[in-house]
Amino acid sequence: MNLKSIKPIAVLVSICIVVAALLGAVNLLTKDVIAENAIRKEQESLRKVLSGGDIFEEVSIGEEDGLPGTVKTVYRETKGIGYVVLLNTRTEYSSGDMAISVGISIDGKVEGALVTNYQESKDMGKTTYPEKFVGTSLKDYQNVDTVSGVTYSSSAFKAAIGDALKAVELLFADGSASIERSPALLLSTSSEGAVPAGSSDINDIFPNNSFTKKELNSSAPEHLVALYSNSADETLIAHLVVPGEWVPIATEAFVTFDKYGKIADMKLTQWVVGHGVNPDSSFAEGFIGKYDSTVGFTDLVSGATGTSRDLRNAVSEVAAFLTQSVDKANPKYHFPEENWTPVELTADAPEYLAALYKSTTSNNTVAHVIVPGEWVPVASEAFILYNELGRIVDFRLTKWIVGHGVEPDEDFIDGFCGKYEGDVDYVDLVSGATGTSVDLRNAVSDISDFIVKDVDTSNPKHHFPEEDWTPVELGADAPEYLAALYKSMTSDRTVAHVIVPGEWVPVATEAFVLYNRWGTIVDFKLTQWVVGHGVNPSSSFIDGFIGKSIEAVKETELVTGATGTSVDLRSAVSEVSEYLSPNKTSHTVLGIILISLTVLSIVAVTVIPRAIIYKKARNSK
Amino acid sequence: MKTETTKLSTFLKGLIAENPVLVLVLGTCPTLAQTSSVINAISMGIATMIVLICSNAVISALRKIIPDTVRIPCYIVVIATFVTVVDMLMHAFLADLHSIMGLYLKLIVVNCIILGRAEMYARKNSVLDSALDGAGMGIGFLLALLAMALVREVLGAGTITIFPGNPFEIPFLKDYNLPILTQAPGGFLVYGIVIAIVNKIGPKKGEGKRKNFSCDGCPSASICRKDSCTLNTEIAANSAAKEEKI
Repeated sequence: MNLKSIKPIAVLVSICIVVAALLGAVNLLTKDVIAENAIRKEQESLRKVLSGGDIFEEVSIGEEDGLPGTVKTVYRETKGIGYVVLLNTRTEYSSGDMAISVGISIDGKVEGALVTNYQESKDMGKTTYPEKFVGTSLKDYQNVDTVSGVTYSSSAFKAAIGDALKAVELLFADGSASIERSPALLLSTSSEGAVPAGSSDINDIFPNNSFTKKELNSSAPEHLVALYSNSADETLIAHLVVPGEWVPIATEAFVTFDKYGKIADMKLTQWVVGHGVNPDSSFAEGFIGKYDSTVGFTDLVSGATGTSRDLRNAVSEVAAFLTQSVDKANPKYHFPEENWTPVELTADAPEYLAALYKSTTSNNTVAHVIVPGEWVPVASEAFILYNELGRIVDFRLTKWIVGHGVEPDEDFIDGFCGKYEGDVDYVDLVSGATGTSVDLRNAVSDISDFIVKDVDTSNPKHHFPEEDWTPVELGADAPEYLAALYKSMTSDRTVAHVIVPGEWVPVATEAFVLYNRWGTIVDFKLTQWVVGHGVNPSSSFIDGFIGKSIEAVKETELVTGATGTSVDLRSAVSEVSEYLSPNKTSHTVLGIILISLTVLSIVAVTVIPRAIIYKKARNSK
Repeated sequence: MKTETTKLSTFLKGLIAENPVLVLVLGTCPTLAQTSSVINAISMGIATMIVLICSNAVISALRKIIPDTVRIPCYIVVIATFVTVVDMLMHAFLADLHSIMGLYLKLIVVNCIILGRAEMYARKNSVLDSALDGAGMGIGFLLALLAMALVREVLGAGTITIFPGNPFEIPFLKDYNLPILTQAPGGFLVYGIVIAIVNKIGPKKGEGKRKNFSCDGCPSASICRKDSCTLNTEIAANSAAKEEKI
């Protein structure tokens, strides 16, 4: 194999790689737009046959509905003005299918019809013939004559119109949506007929339980029909009925609240068949775990926004009503799994730490934070759960400005979870609410520092809590800046505690570096640095160490403006990596042997057969 | 003595003198398929022009790197990439035009004009010249399509469609038109007539002193063995020179 043979392949492969990257980039740029265009085009095509229609949602249909075979898709207009049925039909003499769209009003009359795809050469009047069916219903569409000269095509079209009208009749009897009830309710069907909407019996929904119905006063929310308590587990069950503003019937649900006011379960017992708000959708599950201040952030159902919003608002009102007398300043309301005892705050406690609580069953801590509103008219208030290592486990924002960027469901709040005192300062702020988010983040940072002052931060478990670590004695040849070494008790990983004295800055730079068995850096925690200096936990310099092998550490990019400190740290980490490198020599030798074997194999496969053939040819001459 | 070509002449030759559709007779398939309405012709012309310019420029830039043995696969990869990029961008930002063009947008990959110009021109000339050649050929292609579309749609349907879905109806012609012109036979008919007109009024071919034979002007250069062709020419020239000496 020579260069001449390799070059064309290399050039072609290189070109392919570059164009693949270009196509990937363009695809990233355009795929969302294309998807939106497809949805918009589909909706526009449906509006052509049902004028006045706005948003259409697909109705799920199956064999059990008994629809004609020509019906492919059925859409319902979300404002309730009608339906669109898409059909495929053909005649025995046509070469392809005829695709038809039919718009049908809520009272079962054809609003519009279109042939969207048909290849026959003779035109049956693609726009004029369908117009003849406008205004017809299931009773009189047969009176429209077929077109002479295209009898088969026009007959097939007329039959399709009939199929569309029948489909709507079957799915939505008398123009209204069919109602599906929970199977449990069938038990309560009286001999006189079906149970009227909104009067489900709780004992059918939760059999084998004993419930006590509670009195509701005049301040109870409008949609709360009844409230029950289950004495066995101290739960409350709210029976809600939300009238149908967007759909023809009410939505009914039973919502279970635990004794702390958190939603434990939600059962939909009445919904519209084929509608987005149904027991199979993830909408009901989204309420579980929510409490009064976060119910409002449950995701709505796309295509059933109105109905899902009404139900969510109703649940939110009920949640607020049920917890109005609960002491929300008690950490048990937010973290009910443990019991909490207040801790006296010392004089050096941070300004915004309103209260501190220790768990009686573990080493967890809850901090109650109140940050006065400097940029907004109310204070921001939160309860933060720390584990025994001073790491934030949970963050509950309990007071905020509605519509402001700092709210419970924002990434800003989620960004605190998992952080410890070293990297709280690097939680991303909220664009448009920078002042408030900075104040809150600074407060949390001060509190985190305060909480860990009694935590041994030189313990590697504080930084890498997933494993247990045991100290390793350092040899005489250990690098100067290696302060301590720890081995994992459950894997082959190692943690090196590195301290580099400050030659360019007034404090030492300190870090905990996690290595795998091959000496590759897996994680890097900078634990002491100069605030505002280029070498800090969020800089790309620190991230640049991760994944570096022993040889590659030296090539980590330095920090512009902090070259001296970053050079010192990089050199120290490089020396530590080499000190830790396991059996480097044997790996090198093994690598050389493997490469040699590979080269020899290639030579053997390519050269030896040629030599044999050459020898034979020479001998035959 | 070889005549030096200017940048302007490089650009202009694609418009009439070496119009790819009407003189070189390349890209006949999209020409016939996409000239039933003006908007189709404009869309196809612009898309082809963009692909021509980009592919010519890139192939010219890579001409010294791409070995001869794999030049055709490399050219096709480059051309297909630009066609795909144009397809995706049109699908996202010009969805109406994209649906009008349908499958013919993707078929630009196999348009002879693009591979032909890459082979005949871009691999031998600078990036700027190649881009200008691509632009000239592209505009020539667009103008040829536009000319045919105007005839076919106006006389065949009595309308002119500039904006998708909004045909402008021409009085009298809307009621009295020749629908065959919008069909395939009519397309060939119009194509033949337009070629005849261009041949009549354009630069004469086949007349005058025959210059040095060169493969550059030969439409079949990409499929014949160019080396063999050049070699034969040199042999013939050498033989002729020897005979003169004798």
